[in-house]
Amino acid sequence: MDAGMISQIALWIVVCVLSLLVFALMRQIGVLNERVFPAGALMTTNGPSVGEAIPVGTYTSLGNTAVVIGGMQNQDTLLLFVSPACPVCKTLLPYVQSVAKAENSSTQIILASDAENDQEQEQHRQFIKQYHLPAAQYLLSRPLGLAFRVEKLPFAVIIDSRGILRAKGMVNSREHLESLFEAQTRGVASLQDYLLSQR
Amino acid sequence: MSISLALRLFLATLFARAAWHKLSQHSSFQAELSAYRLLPVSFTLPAVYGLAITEIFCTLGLLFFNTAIVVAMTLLVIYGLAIAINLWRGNRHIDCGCASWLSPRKSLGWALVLRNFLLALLAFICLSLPTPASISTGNVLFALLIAFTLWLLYESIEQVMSNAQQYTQWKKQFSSRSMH
Repeated sequence: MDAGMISQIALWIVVCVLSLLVFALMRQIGVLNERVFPAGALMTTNGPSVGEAIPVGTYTSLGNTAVVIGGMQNQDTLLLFVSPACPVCKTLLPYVQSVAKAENSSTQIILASDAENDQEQEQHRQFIKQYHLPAAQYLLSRPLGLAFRVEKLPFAVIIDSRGILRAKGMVNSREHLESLFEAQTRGVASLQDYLLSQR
Repeated sequence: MSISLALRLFLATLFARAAWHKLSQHSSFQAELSAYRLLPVSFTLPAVYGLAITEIFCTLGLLFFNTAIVVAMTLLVIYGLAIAINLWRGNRHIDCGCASWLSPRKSLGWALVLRNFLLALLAFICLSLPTPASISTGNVLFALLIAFTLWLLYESIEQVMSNAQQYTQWKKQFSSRSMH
């Protein structure tokens, strides 16, 4: 083996190790970004505030079943306001479905929206068909949206089994929705509040 | 030629991962695809499987025949155009739907368009190099080494891109909070 060959091999080893290092560093920065500073769901100041009991209401689902929101329940409720016309909502649906499967014993998932006429109602029916959503957990109610002062979609609300509002906020991504669950388990209003209390 | 083989291996890895992403998370990819608003709603699910099958064809074919390279190039250009069209429409905030090994999801940007065209260019370079017909074990090992390094660098660039997006998001969050 001549010197050229040896240096070639040595250089290749160095290049490989360096690329591994660069990748590991980039990855660490990415992980730090995600862990250290989670992007919390955007809180709104309107509507019922966290810690308050929400007004109890009975609503009719698209599957013609009665759904009670608020009051004593045997599990927590995730109320997610969506619309067929909102692309971000659609990207959240697979995640919501996986949460429904993973936490089926502790959290019931209710999707909510509103329809002004029959034509819109038909759009909602196609929407739940396309994304395989359970009709019994899909509500069309304008008063429900008004009660939580929903302005922008997708908007998520977590209500505990005693009918108390635990977390709420606009959720643009899976991370936002996760932050709401995180806020609920930590017993804080939002992750922003948690971070502020830590400083 | 080990360079040609290395480039083919590298591209095959990317397509394998993309196909895996589409098949393993087809419902979320379907949602991402419909957010691009390029296809009628009823076509999105067949499109997901169509794309996945084409990508599997590219993965397997890239090492052996040039047709697969042409298909791969076309796919890359189509994805690039799809992103560019949505950028022109002002749809910056949709998820790009591009599979990444570890890095978090990315929204659209011109950097992604550039990335796709550079990858297409790489595929084009493969076309002009001779096909790897019968090569020695040493050359294969060397090609694997190059492909592995290329892939690591590619993943690093992806990660840098998603890190950069996260920083801009934070900046926005902070500035909007200080205004309140």
